[in-house]
Amino acid sequence: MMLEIKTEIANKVATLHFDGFLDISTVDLIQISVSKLIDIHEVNFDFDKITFVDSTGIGTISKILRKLNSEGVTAKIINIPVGVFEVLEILGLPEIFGEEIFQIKNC
Amino acid sequence: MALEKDLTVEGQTRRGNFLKKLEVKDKVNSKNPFGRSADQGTNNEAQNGSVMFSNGQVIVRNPQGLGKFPTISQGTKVEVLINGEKITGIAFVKEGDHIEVQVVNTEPSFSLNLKISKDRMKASLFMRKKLGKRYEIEDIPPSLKICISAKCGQEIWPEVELQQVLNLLHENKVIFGIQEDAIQEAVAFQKKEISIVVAVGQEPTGVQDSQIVYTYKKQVANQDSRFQSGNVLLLSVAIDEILAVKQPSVPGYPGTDVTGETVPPRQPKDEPILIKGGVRLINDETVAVATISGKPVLEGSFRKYLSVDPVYVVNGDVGINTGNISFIGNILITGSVLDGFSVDAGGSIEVWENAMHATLYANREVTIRKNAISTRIQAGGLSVNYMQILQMLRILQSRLESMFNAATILKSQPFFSTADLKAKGEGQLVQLLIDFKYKDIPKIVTAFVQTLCEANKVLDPLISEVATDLKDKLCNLGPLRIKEQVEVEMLIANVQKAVATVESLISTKVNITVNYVQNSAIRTTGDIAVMGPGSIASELEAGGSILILSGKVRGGRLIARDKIKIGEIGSPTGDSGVNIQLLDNCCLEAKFVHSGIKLEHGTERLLIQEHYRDLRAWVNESGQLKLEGVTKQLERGSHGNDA
Repeated sequence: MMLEIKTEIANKVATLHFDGFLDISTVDLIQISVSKLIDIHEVNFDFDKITFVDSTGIGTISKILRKLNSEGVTAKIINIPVGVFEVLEILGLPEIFGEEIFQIKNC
Repeated sequence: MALEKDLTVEGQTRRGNFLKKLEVKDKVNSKNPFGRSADQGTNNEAQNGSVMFSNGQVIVRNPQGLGKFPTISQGTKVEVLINGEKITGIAFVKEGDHIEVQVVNTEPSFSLNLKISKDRMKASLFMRKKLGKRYEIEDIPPSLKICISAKCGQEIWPEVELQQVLNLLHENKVIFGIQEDAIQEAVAFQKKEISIVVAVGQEPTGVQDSQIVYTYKKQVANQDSRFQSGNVLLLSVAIDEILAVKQPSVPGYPGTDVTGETVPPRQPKDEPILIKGGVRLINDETVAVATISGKPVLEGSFRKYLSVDPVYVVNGDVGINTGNISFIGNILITGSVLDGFSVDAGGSIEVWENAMHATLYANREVTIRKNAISTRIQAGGLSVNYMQILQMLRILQSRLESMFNAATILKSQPFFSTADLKAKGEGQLVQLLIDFKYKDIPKIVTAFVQTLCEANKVLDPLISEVATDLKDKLCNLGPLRIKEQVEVEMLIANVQKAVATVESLISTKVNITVNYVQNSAIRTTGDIAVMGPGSIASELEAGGSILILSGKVRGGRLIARDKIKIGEIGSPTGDSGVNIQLLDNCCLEAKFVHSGIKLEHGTERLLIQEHYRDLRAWVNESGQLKLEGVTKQLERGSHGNDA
């Protein structure tokens, strides 16, 4: 498996820990994992162990962010490796979704 | 005996055994400057010799017993010779030596250089003076060692004779236009360097180039000056009417250069009268006359061409009796352009009354002596459209280049995988960029295409092709059709080509002059001048300036590239907001500005929330909008506001 997702839920806050690639081969898995979340107020995507991203992966995660926002669910991406954040920044995601949603991993 | 007391104290302090001798010395005093008594020679005690310099002489006293011999050395600006030999370092001296001390003085000197200009019309003297210096040696009291140095006592400027300079001029064959006063000044000048013109030739005189007098312009001067605009005249000329007269050139008289040679006068320029249609030349091409009746036009920036454009005169209104007017030349309407009618001129349009709910389109100037109500006016022909298109293309070019660079950087990121791009095409990445950071690109493309459609004129086909290409590849799902990033590069190249093409198509700036504007849209390549009460709820777009010097602007939108100068903007109640867009380095000047005015430059936006007097708005070097003026509060004692 190119990506493993562990989901933790506490007090209606779900944290999805990603480990592996966020790319064309793993986007279906992400969508399935998110679709399983029911009655959740906040979702944190933990990118700590993300090692690669591609345009399909980022496209998918941004669609998920939009969908969650439209449903009134607070979504955040946390522990983003600096290199991955640079990619997101070049694409302009922080500008669109708000910089507070993207939290860079502390070195 | 005060001196004796002093010496005693000194002697005690330094050396106890000197005490006695010093006393003796003081007693013998001036005749024996060493203060040595006659019996001292018999003293077997060791006593050093000494040497002194006094009144230009070196006086030596030999040592006694085992005492040391005195030494002498030379310092600056002196030469010391002992028994005829020049010393180089420290030398011992004894009584009986023939010691000469010579002061090394510096003699004053000068150099003269003469420079004659290439055309030999000017000779300049460059004089460099070096000061002479006289040195003096001060007396040195007796000591075992002395070093003799001289100090500058006097500085002497070199004396330069007038004749020496004249001789130099003569040697250089300068014989004409000699300025003796200048030479005297240089000779007497007490500074190290001077450069002064000492001879001036006489230029040839009286040369006159041919001149063209455009006689028809005098007619314009007699008209209402408010409505004169550019080089298109309001008056028409009749067949065979004289339009221009060439005044012949005059050869002039020769001059003389500084060497006395004759300088021939330059050939006077003989400019022909350049003509185009509607004009012919008579009297050896020195007089231009009209071959048709119409409006004389003088155009061209470097070479001026004179022509007469035909004039179509509508006596009365353009309305139900005339229908819409379209004419290749100029159109003069002595009445108004009535509701729903249009006027299309290959030249200029002049309306003596009003334009109401009408459309006026001209390749040259448009003048409406009274009011434009709910009217669309465009002057400058296609150049107006091209200016608008150029603005959009430039923004697009910049945004596309930025997007292209972002894609390139992304692909080089170590965390970014490009595997999916190879499978799906690089359009995937372009789409992502357009979805987020470059959301404005499809909007600009859409506006661009819409502008082309609205132009309703035949524009350069290249621009339409570029528009189609941009729409196909950048709007809707177009980006996903892009296979490789190089396609974006090609788009940029095509936009660049289009920019160059459009720039070349934008021609002369022409102006629109109107008394009052309401609920109208006015666009031109040059200036828009509203001479009367002002502009209400209208859109004015000028490639040059918008000038509403004594009028008011309430509501609407103003766009200009050079300057916007207005009497009053907005309304005291603040409910007549005006949008003002400053292009390039355009600045806004207004006597009164009410709150609610929106300023715009590129992506910068500024809302004026106070009432200002003598407001000036401009864009600084960093592209920020700046305001300078006096707020209404200031009138009550507070300070101005710099936004």
